[in-house]
Amino acid sequence: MSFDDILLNIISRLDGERYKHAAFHLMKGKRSGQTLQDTEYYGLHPFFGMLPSLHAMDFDRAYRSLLDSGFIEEKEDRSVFLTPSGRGRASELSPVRLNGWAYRGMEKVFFARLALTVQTVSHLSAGDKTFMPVSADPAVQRDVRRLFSSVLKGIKPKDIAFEIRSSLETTGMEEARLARLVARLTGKGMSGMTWRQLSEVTGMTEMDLKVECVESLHIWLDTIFAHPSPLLSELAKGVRTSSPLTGSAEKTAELYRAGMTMPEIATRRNLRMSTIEDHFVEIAINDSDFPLHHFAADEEVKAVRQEADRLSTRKLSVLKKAFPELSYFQLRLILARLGKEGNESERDDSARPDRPAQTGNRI
Amino acid sequence: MNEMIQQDLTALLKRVTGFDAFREGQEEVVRSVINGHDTIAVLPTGAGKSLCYQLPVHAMGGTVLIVSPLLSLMEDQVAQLKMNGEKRVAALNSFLAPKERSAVLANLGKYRYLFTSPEMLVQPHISDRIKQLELAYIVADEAHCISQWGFDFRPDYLRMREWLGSLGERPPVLALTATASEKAIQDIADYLLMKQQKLFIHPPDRPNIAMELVRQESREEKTKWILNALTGWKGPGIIYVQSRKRAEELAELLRLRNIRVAAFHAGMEGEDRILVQQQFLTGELEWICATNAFGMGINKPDIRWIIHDQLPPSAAQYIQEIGRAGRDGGQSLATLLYTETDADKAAFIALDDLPEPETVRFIGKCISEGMELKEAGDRAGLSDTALRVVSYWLGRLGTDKAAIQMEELAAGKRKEIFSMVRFAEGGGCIRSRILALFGYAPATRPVHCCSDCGFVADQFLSARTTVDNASGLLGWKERIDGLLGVGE
Ligand SMILES: [Zn+2]
Repeated sequence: MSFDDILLNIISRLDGERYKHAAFHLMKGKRSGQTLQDTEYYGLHPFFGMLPSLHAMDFDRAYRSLLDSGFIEEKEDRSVFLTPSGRGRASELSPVRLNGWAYRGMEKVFFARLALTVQTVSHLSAGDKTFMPVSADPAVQRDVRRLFSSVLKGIKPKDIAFEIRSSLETTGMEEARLARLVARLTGKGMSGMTWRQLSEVTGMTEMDLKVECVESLHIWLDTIFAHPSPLLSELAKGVRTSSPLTGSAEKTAELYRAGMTMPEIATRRNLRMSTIEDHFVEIAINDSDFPLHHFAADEEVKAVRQEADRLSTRKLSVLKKAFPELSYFQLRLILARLGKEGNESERDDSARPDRPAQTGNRI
Repeated sequence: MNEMIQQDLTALLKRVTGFDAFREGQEEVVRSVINGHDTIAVLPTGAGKSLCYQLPVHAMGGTVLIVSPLLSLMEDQVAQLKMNGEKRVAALNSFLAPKERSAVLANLGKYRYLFTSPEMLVQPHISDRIKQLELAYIVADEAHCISQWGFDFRPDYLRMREWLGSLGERPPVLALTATASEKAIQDIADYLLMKQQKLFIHPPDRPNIAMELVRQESREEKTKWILNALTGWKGPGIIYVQSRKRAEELAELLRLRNIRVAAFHAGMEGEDRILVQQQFLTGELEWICATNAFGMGINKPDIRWIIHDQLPPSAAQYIQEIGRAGRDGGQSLATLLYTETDADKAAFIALDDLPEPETVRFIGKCISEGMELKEAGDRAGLSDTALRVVSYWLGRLGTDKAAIQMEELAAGKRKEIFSMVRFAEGGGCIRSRILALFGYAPATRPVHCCSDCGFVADQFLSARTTVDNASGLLGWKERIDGLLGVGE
């Protein structure tokens, strides 16, 4: 799927409810309460953190191209929605096989380890001990060095080739796509191709190639976790997120569980109150036991939920107008728990990420 | 002691490296360090500089601290030492994860070679730990960076002065560089607090590199010249350009003529930069169109041709860049393309990030009124680099003198550019004139000297007779088998 189509897919789920920045932050995997909340509510997990180093310029180019093709338009308040032709296009898209939520850019680490392993085996089996490593990252170099004294000890290059080929065959990806994926690997006398060179050979844009590579790696990693094999499982170690919380939010959660108040946590951790609030929203999204009633009265929670349903909106600014007595933080927490407790039918089906959300633009 | 060393040095060399004899210039430097002298060694690239700092410690014991300007260079040297079987080596740089950094810090005393950057060295918690080490000697690698970068780009280089001063009784300091003008040597001695230093200088002349100067009217003419030259003759070679855009533009034009070429600049992803270097080293790429981000740490012996699309801002930078040709000793060529407008462009780029004296005064005033440095920098619209520079000089000299210092720095840079302009516009033997900028004269006149004395390119450049056709993508199974050396 091209980058434009990915963006169209995301916008189809946020249809009319968000500005273009929401999609940008989502793809970069921004750990703000707002983005995490959007991810949860609109079922955007496949796209979360898929391109951590996405450049605003590349994003704007794709956005502009969707505007120019008439697939999307902006309302007066600049929130973005799909035109009928955009809807048509979105419904024809093949299912997204990204798994950003699980890997969050760590697929790069997997590929760096793989590339360094392949390069090292390639050179060593040619009797060449001096080469310039394709990964300059000391952590990657150390990981791979360790493999050579464990899982790779005594293994023949033939077996490694067999393992990689079998696993890639199991992914079911098409031949041409696999050729593009392995073209980035380097061996003795056979350097990998830069994005530019790959673009020259295939006629695809560099951006589309990068996005495709991320998706290919997600597909491959999903396959490796479903069908473990000796080397590849080692290479994939630790690239899948185990805790849904960021490290920092996890620490805040621990202190909160230990009985500290929010201001106390902020002082102890020397963090701003707004950061601690973001952590609480993140916790609220992920923790089914989150004590929402400590932060807002049950009647208030209920009223906000009803209003959000009635207006069919998640917009803080709209809800704040309706409930001026509640703080933004309280509203965010209530929204974070929305869809977790009841009204499941409103939500996008995250088990079917290929189906666009049905929340309309009825404001 | 002296005599013992005289006898034993060759034995030491043999024991540590397996070599039977020193290369020219190495032995004097090694002996000077072992005898405890502060030492400045100016050795041409490819003369085996690293041996000069690697060997003495084997006679002296303890730890060598090597301060290196570039991460890539540092990583290279660590890898090189490890490849030669040295286990007691580590690099302490910003590249390390916090966990790895504490692992290195916990074992500092264990290392024979400890590499670090100036920025890392002056951090108090690291500096304190290093001061506790038993240091055999301290090495400033690529020491010309002190003069080239320290004043306006990486002031932490200059902070090394204070750091060395705080050592009390300090071990000898060895400064290594490939090129240094008189001024650079003065700066090195001054900023490394050297005392009665020994100076070993080998002129930066590289007789196997013919030097060519081509004057053009415009950028378009330069482009035409390059396309014409490269379709006629083969590399491997590097074209140094001034901007990322120009690197991309030239690479694309050459690629359309079926020349295996790629651009290289700091705007590219790290992985892609490594791949381009790799392809160049293996010969899969014949030409690189690069900004000055390319070169240091690259060890390709058979580079035949260096072309400068722009006038470099200083003679030292020029000599360094052309010095990457012909390290295998083979006859090579360095071409400088020059137009009159080059000087302005070079000046614009060299002075662009240098803070104006008024800006320094403004920031000095803000700080004296109690404003945070960062905020003052934001108000003045300074980049982080420029702010670091201003902060260093303000702290050292006070507002008025710091402002004057900025003027002097700018004047110094203009002077260097001006002497390059005179070089490019002047007449007479090119080799003699560039060497004169360093205070030397060529020892002999090589057969292929320069475009003024005359040289015959077709005696050493290979003509391009075949055309490379771009190949498509290999099948994925074939590629995996090929990479791993498996299959038919
Ligand atoms: Zn000459």
